[in-house]
Amino acid sequence: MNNLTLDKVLRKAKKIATSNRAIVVYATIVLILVWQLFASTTNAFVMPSPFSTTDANGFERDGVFITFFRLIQTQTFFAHLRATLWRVFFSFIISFSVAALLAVLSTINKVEYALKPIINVLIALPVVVIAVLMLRFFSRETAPIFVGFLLIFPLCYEGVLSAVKGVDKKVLEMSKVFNVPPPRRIPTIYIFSVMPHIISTAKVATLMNLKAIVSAEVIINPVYGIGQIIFLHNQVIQVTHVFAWALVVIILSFAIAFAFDLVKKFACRWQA
Amino acid sequence: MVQIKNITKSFGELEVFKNFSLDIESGKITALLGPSGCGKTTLLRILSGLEKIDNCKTNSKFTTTKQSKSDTLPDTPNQQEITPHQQEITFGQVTGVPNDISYIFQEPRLLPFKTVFGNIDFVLKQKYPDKPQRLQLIEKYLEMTGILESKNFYPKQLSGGMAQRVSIARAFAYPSTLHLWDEPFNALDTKIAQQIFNSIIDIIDLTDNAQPTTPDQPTTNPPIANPPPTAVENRQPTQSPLTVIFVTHSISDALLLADKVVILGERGTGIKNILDIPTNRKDRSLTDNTLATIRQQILQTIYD
Repeated sequence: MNNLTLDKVLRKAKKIATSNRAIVVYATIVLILVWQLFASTTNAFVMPSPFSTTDANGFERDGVFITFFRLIQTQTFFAHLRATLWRVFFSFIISFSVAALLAVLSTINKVEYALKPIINVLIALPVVVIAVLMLRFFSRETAPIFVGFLLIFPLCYEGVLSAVKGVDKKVLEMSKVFNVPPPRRIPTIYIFSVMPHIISTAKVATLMNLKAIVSAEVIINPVYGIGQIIFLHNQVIQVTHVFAWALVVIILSFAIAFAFDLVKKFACRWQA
Repeated sequence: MVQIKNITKSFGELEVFKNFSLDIESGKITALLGPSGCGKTTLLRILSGLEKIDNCKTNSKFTTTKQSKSDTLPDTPNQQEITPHQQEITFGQVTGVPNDISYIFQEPRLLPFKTVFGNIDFVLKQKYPDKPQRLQLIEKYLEMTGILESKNFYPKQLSGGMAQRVSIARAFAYPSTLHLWDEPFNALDTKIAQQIFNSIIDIIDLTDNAQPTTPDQPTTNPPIANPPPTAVENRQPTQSPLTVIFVTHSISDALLLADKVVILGERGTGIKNILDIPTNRKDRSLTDNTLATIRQQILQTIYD
């Protein structure tokens, strides 16, 4: 009986140890160890260590993780975080709404071809060029929003367009044959069919948007913003703080991706 | 009667029908046999309004002339409306197609985001506003196709055969007097196919001696037996007889189900032969002499 229970526990432990999540955890640990190893071979101004260390003179240097925990307790942390997140949110909403509208229009006439040049230009333009251009038209506080808007617009447009084009025509034919009235047929089939693609596009666009806006904040220097604080720390060579803020961005990205995955799991449970 | 008169249909350079005509008798099962690409599916698509005919005289998106409107349309083109160039064209016409058609496609064509039940409910909602009535009807036909237990499954959770059975149930649950079947039994195993065959035969025979009503009548107030123990009883004797046009590559399926077999030739060549199957559907067996003779005739026509 005892042997049986032990066997069960061992099997369960083995299952957990070899699960996909466990592999992600192992990979993360390996990544941190490689980082620590690399940091130990160079100085803290080039590559700060993830953990606190003591240098040759006996001074204790804070690692990235401890700096991260200290900075999230500061008053300005949430001001910077809030400013960046608002910009990400607004630029995503504007970009996605405009892109969705134009993508839908593109499926019913030749708007798609008329938009091709502008989409290609936006895909090719570097962040810095867009940021400098936006500064001529908008304030330092709002310019990053439009940088994000322009940078993710092609992605949103292409994503929505391919989702709408990818709606199963055979299913539309079926509903037509069975005389399902268009006011019920079109929203039901289109909305549900494009939903998984739209959520995936929105996830990638938001993550890209976060990166673009942080980069734009570094260039544009608004009063608050993660990019702005990274810029300031870099100016005074506080590399550990730069890494700690980078960690904030990474954690934010994970949280956003997780939230979108959760929404997709719920909204598209029929795909499971 | 569904009448197809002088229709012409091409896909670019590919001419599928040239002045093709065929009469389909009401209340009968007509099987269409023929080589791949001869236009069997195209014919069903034309009848369902999914495909336009090239020489249609109306500009309507739905090219087939629906029965309800046929009385208002003249048999010959209106001379005042046509140009001298158009006078050279023989107009094609399809008449006798009711407004409500049931179609079993080659592939199930289910909505991936709706359950088995939801898929049938989606097409029935407009016809049966009463939910309990729909529920009863859907369950009945899911039982007929042997898939009732999977009614809460999503299409992704079904095998190909199970999905096709849902599509068969959907076609039978939908209130129509014209059924268009495009190789419906291909994905089914022999046992299930036989079970569905028997149910279909029961339904067809029940309506064989029915008094014809107008095609639109069942859609406004479809009669439902209360509570019917079998799917067959859903169709009342007063309802219009079912007309089935049935595309298949299986001679056996055609012999067991059809009243008439239409054999099409290669693409663009039209009908090669039409054969009647005189025996009672319920007494048919592939080993009996009459069917063996007809099978021989079909094979001879195909290989001629």
